[in-house]
Amino acid sequence: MSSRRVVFPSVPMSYSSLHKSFTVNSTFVNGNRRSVTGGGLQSFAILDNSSFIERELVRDLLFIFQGIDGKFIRQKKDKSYEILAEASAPIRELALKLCELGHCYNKIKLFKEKPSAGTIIQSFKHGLDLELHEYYRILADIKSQIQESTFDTPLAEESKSREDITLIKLGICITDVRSRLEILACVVEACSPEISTTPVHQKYGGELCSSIHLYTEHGDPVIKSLAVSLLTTVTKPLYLMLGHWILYGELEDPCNEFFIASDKDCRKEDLWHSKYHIRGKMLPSFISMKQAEIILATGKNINFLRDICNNSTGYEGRAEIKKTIEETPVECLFMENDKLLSNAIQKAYRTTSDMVLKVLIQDSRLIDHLNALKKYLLLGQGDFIQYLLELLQKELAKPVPKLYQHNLSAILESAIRATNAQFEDDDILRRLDTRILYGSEKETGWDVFCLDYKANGPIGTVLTEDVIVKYNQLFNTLWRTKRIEAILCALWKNQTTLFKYQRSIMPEIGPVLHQVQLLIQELIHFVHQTQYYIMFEATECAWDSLMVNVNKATDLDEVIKAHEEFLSTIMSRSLLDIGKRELLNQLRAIFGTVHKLNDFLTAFDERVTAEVISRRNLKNQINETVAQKNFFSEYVTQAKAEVEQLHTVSQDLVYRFLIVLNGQQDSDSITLQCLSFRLDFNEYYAQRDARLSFPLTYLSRRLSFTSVNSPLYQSIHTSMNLSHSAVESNGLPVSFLRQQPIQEN
Amino acid sequence: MPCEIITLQLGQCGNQIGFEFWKKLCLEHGVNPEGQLESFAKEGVDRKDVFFYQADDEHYIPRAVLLDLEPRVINTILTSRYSKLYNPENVYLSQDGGGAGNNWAAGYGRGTGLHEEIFDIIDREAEGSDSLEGFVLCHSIAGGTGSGLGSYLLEKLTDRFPKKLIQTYSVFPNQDEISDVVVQPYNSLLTLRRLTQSADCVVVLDNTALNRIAVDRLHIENPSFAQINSLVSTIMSVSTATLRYPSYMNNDLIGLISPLIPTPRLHFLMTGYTPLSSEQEATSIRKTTVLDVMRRLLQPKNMMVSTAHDRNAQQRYISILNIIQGEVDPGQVHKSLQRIRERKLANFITWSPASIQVALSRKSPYIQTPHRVSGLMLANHTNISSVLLQ
Repeated sequence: MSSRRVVFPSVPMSYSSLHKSFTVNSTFVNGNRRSVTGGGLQSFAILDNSSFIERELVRDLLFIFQGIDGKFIRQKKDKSYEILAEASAPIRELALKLCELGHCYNKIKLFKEKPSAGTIIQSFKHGLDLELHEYYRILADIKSQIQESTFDTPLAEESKSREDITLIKLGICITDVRSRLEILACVVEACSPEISTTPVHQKYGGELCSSIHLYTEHGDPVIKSLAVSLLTTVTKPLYLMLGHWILYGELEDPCNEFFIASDKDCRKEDLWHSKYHIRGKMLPSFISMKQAEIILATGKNINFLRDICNNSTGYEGRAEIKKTIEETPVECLFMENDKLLSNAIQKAYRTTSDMVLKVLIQDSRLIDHLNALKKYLLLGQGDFIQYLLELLQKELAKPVPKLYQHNLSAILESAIRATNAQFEDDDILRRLDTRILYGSEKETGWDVFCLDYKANGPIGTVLTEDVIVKYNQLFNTLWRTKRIEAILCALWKNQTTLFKYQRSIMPEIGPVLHQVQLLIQELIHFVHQTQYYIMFEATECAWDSLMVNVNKATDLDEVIKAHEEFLSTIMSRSLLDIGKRELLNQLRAIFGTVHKLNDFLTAFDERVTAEVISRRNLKNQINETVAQKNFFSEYVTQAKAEVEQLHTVSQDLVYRFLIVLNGQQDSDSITLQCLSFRLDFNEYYAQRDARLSFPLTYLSRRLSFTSVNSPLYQSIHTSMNLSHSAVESNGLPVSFLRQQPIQEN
Repeated sequence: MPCEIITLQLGQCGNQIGFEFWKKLCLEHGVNPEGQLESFAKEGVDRKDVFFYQADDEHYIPRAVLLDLEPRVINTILTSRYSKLYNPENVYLSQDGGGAGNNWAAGYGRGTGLHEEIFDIIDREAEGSDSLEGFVLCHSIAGGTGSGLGSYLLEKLTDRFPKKLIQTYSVFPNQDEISDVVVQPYNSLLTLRRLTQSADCVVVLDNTALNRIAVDRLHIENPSFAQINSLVSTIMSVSTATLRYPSYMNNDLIGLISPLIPTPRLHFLMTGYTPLSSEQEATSIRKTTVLDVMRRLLQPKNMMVSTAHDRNAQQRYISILNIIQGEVDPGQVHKSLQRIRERKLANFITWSPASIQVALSRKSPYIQTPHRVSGLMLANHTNISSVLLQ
């Protein structure tokens, strides 16, 4: 017995409690005896025969074993037993010990009688019933033995000579059944709060299975077999549910006992993502989480095919799997040595997953849709985007309240018709639409416009609304970059024509133009390199790995995961995640200077054109006043200063952008290094700003090699400190760290 | 459709390279010599309308204007199997057929007389396109028609279409041979002046270098005009590949040349192409990767411009655009860039930020090439001055 206590933590608890209840009250009042025991035992009243008492106690115990109070032994309100007969201490002790069985029985009985819902709990009760039947049989057996002894020898004196059923004997008779009942009582106690002495909540369903499963690994073969047979009964409904789920994807679980739950209010679009989930609590301990996920996925696959793809024909090999499930004994569920069932589940999972992937990739052409997203929402189809940009220019300059969806959609239509997008599949074009993001009244169309992609049907499972929103954000960012590129191109073109013009008519604006050209060139370089970076390092690389992963994927979840990875990679590399807010702001600031430059040049152009016209008019009269001439030359000087200032500002912004870029210290810093490397390929910026000569990652790498006291480190350190404090103090990088650009040509 | 480009072919040389160029384009787009679309070319990945437009019967007509003062070359074209491709109204031959006699002044002077007729054609073409992006001019700077008439046209185009871009593919004369035309240097000089002033972008095709490449790289003893012209047409077609096969960037002429040309005067570009292979020699096929291609593009021997090979000279790249075609692993591009920077394979100017731009372009699906990756470099290099000096 002591060895058992070691094995099961719950056993000593109950034992000690039992003991306590037996030992607390063993005193009795002698005077009461007669009134309680009644007159039937008059003849023995004078005899204080221990054997007689013992016999009576045995008889009583049989009642106690069935939960009924006996003549001399009865259960008190606090559930402890008392013996109302005078008996010697050893006998009393022995009898009380045997009462424990009655205690166990009472517990089980109580549990059984308590109403409870749930098929698994019902089958548990059924299992208990079977056990109790056996128990009753044994009790009846003992009883008949006792009766035999009393009937055969009506005289009490004679019976002494015969073999009596003593307490010890009774104890031996019930040893086996007692240990069984003890275990059952323990299980029952663990499952039900009413019975337990320690606080537990009502267990049901898979949880119940888990607590029984614990005993199947018991060292005692008797208990082990008991637990196995009990568990077999208990898991029967679970097994049926499982079979139904795997074969038909249906949950027949009115009492929420199965380890897979469904959300009835779930929308059809979210079927895959949120309709079904695993109830961790209900997961029996003999089914691993991994296996549960496979089971979940199988049913999800079936439901997906039926509800989303309207394909309810059932999968190939279902009959076969059904047969396997029907033929396999229930024990397979929790006995690890048999792989038959898990193989069948695996097979169902494979087949259904393949079907889902086939529907998704071949029938719904997921890859084509992804490609379309890349082409239209990630600006891959350059000619279309460019034309759209051109057409939308006027519309998007309006403030948000004046934007109308139908105007934008009409423009989108014409852009599609005019470009290569017209060759695109109709299904894809139908899904493409414009969308106005939420924006305040002050913002213009540029801030809120984006393209949208309607992903309904099976592909909606991969391209959920959240995913599309992310695409929208990406589009908006890339679109802004594209717009800046378009502005710069237009400026460049204007400059080129103006340059031809200037040479013949107005040589004095030459220096301004030169300065403007340099600035434009720098900005063009910046924007182009940023775009190349987004195209190669962000989109294309991520796309490559997406394709690899999708082709490798064995089920829908893997496809979804691959796509999510793809998106988050692009988001993070396009500076759109939260950690890179600062960088994005810097980038926006640089774009801001482009707008400023654009405004400036428009004004400048107007001024110059006006001057040209007035000069042409004046040519005939040749009396242009000195004041007028001076006025214009003043304007030119002023304009030159303005351009120079713009140049400085934009360069400062680029410096700061690069510094922040180099300072990025997360998983993606390697790819961000690519951007800084592209932007500063010929070390133009690095040569002019000491801070950029030591990118932080290199610095930290170097630090690990050089000791802290080395002069190299100190020089770096001071230079870092210097520049840092300078930035802090006046908000702008110190200019002495930079030389003025040398203009060679 | 935005961004149409009209090609003007001038003179003997211009028409020859133009002819090769159109041949190549037709092959790439799956257009047969009659202008009909081949049955296999139904996919819509390419933009044919940049260089072609469709006639009423759906056959494709190049946006090309053929001009010459003597009928020899154009007649060859018109008798070839491609004769039905061109719009006959766009072919202009001088009535007297005398040619410009390799004389710049003659060509230029004839222009004044022919102004009306030529611009009729050009105007008609320009009106036929929705949003004309610019003109491409093919000519040689040494001859008579190409240089003289070309110069005249350049000036007039700038006046007439001040907002349109003008890109020229100008063939520079061979320095190694002593030309039989004594006025060649003068022709060149006079044309160069117009190119500097009026054109927006000049792609220099140096006959010296082309010959050298043909001899050294392709192992052809005496390269014929046709062979050299096929080199030229390759360059022309690849450099317009991004326009014809749209992708992320560089989808129009301005997007292509604006990052290359920092200030309007610095608009002479040189080109390089690798891997080069001739039809006779299939054995020289090498394994090509992005790095290989990008590295080879920076080698002077692959440059189509013969510059003074003085490594010590302070000659630097102003900007580089590599157009890579074929199956490219995008991850490799960055590695290649890094390698080039580490080894300092390319020297850049120091007065402005500059870097190698890499554009990926699709290959035509209808042409099989032995190489997996091929690349073209358009570079703005200070060294071009040495060519101009000659």
